[in-house]
Amino acid sequence: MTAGRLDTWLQRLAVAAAYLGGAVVTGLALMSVVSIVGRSVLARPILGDFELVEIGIAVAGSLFLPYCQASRGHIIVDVFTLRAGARTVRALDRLGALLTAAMFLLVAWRTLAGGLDIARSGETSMLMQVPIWIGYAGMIPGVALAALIALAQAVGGPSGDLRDDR
Amino acid sequence: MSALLSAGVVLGAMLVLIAARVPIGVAMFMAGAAGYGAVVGAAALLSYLKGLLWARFSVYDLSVIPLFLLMGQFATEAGFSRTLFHAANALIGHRQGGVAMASVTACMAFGSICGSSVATAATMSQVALPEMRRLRYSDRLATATLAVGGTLGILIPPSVILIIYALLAEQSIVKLFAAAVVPGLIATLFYLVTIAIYVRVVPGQAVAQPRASAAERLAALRAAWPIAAIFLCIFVGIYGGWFTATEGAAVGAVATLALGAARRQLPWRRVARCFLPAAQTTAMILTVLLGATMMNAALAVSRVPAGLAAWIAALDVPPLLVIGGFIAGFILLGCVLDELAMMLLLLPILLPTILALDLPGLSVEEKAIWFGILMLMATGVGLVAPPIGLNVYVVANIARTVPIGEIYRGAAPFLAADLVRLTLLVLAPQLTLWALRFVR
Repeated sequence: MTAGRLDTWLQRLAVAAAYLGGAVVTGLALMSVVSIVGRSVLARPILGDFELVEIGIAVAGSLFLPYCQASRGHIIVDVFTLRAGARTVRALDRLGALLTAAMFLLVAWRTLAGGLDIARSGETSMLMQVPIWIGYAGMIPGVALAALIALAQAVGGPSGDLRDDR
Repeated sequence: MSALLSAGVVLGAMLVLIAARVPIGVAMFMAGAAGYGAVVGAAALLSYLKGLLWARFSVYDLSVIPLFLLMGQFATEAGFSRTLFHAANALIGHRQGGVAMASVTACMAFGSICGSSVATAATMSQVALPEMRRLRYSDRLATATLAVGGTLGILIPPSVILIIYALLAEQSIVKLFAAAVVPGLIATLFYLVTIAIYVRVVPGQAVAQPRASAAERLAALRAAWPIAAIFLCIFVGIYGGWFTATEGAAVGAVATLALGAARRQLPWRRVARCFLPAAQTTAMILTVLLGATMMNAALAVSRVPAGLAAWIAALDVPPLLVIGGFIAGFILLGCVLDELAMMLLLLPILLPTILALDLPGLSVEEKAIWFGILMLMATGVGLVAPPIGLNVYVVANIARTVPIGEIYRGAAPFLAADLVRLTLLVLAPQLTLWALRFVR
């Protein structure tokens, strides 16, 4: 498989992850609306819906990371490098991508370790008794994919960019 | 001393990385992790990192960010800016400079369902700029009005910057939103007054147009009222304590989507397109929050922010001068640095000092909320001040033929109005804090 095809696959995965995260957020929004109607109209609250929001937002947020990485959506400061040549800027951006990959890899690895600890201790959420390790496990794929994309940007082909199609 | 030294090295390393185009969140994270490890040891760092992502991401209030971003995207894609502009224009467009005033008013209304200044400036420019050009408004006034009006997107709640401030300073999002209402209305009013003075002092900037008929006004208002209803529903709901901020954002996003779909302005293809920008911005914010949390932890073990707070308290400078100095420094730095980045960098260092200031009659919470609003205002100034006012670039990009310098010149009177407003809000904290009594 060539580097170009790998890039394409990573980008497709990033977009798919973003839509999956979007679906989770949509689910949270609908659940909130149902919860409001339930408690105000039917006097029947969803007990512990906020726990699902916490798990959902953690998972959705991590699923957004790969797309942000692939489309280079992170904030950078460019005033100090406005006069630098294109080659310098490219080299710096590779360095930035490498550091980003290192950060996400470190975080993914430690979250895995933390999740295993939690799974062993059997900790659950207070009201709904959802095992907390599920939240940890749900965050790891997004972070790991973001790390992979950053790595591809650091060592691979020139772009690794997704175009915003607007 | 060694802790102080390590904090200095950490901050220095972070600034070098940031200057070298490393994403800000990553620079904060890497420098912070190294500093934390240096002070408390690598094993403690690795153990701390086990729970960091979960602690930072599984926060209930965080969910308002993608929801409000989605609501703003839906409103943009559905063309609500056009509806709001036509309504405002029908009401006040006939005055001298009236279309510019209508643009500012429509920006305020759009800002009440959108939390981003760039999005507000962009969507409003596409609607209002052609209209002002058709009526031969000067490019200078037209573009500056839209660049400045766009800042109302963040000054009027919901505001993404305020949500991030709330998360970092551990304050209530609902209370910060409530506190932002009066300052946001003052901002709108001052911009309107600025336009009124501007078109009278500088001739040939704006040409009056005929008054809209009563039937036209009624039709324009009828088209706009559901948007106002969405806004009212969200904010009465969250200020009155019926919804949480997240639930308000969820209701707002669903209602905006439903209204757009009902008006056949939001086909499915466009709805799908709303998700990617919202995902991108959410992830950008989460990354900087992650980095800022790591940096906070490193600074906390070095005890530098607490030391700075004690040092400034011991200096015996009048508290208002300290606040004014911080805000002035914030505005100056904002000329070269990204505002969000600056807030993330400076907040952990400055907030302990602010909270320790001796301001009679203000509780710790009130100080934090008040300072958050002041910081938000300073951010708004940075968005239109040279050399890099983001909103100015956005409008210039849409206007195409107007030089950047021309927009900055047009924005100067508005910036003067901003400074008057900031001074007013520093001298009278009650203007900001007054609305808190309505929050349950």
